[in-house]
Amino acid sequence: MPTLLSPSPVLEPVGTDRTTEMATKAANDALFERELMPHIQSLYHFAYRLTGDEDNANDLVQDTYLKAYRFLKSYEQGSNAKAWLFRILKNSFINQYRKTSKEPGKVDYEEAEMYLQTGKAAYADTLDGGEKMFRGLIGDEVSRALSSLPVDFRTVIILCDIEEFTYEEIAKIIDIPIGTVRSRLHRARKMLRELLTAYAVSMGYDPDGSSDD
Amino acid sequence: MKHQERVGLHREGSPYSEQECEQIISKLEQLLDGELDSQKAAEVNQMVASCEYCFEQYNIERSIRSLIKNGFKNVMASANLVKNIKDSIRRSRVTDEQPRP
Repeated sequence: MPTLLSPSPVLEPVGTDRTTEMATKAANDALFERELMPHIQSLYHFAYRLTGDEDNANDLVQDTYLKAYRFLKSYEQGSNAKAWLFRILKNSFINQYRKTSKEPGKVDYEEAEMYLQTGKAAYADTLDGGEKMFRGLIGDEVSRALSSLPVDFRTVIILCDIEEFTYEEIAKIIDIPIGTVRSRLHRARKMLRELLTAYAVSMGYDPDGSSDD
Repeated sequence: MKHQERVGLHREGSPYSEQECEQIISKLEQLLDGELDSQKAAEVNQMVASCEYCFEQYNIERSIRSLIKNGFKNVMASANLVKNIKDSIRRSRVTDEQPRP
């Protein structure tokens, strides 16, 4: 029986011909440059929001691109390069920065709930008129509120609201079911809304005096 | 508990029951995220337009999104990053090309 007819495994170095090798390399470089590098700004932004720090963000993005280059074979040309890169980055982040945390990749709901207690009292009274109230908030304050969200919640917010990935893409990037994407987004936005409300109140917004304009 | 808070705020004069409003509101996020099919989206949009309470919730959801977008701007990657990435790839290639022991 001819058992040796199957092609050699993909990971085996293909041929020894120097010219072919160089041509492949040049093609890979071009692909890398054309399809992957254009996403650097988005990746950096994501990395910065995850790590909260320029140096770590730079390391994370660099590491992501290095991995992407090494695993270029597993990237299908013309497919969703951005989502692929985000997935690599998010995995690197988990491996590097969360090794020491109790249960990497899992949302600590208890922590999130406790965290919510802060804004709850203010929220209950001021849900009404929230839109008007948020108007006075500026970028810095919002940025601070966003950075204080637990990382799993921050992640879905960034992927959905900033990068405008679909629920399906987000599910693939962070390896969770679509239903979980939806519920996590909902919780994240709710937290944010409560935080911002509490913040607006602490800044002197009077929820009862909403008779302006 | 949360439900009661919301119900307490439900406006009189809305053409919808509290449960209907709850249902509309639960779809607002998907609507704004572009995750509803066009028929469902049109339906929710129409309901939002005819209920003051739902409309207000819709506006709050929208303003949160625009706050997020504005609050997250202005973080630019440095020009060095591109250079460092290319250097690190070049270095990794050199290592790969070295004969194995």
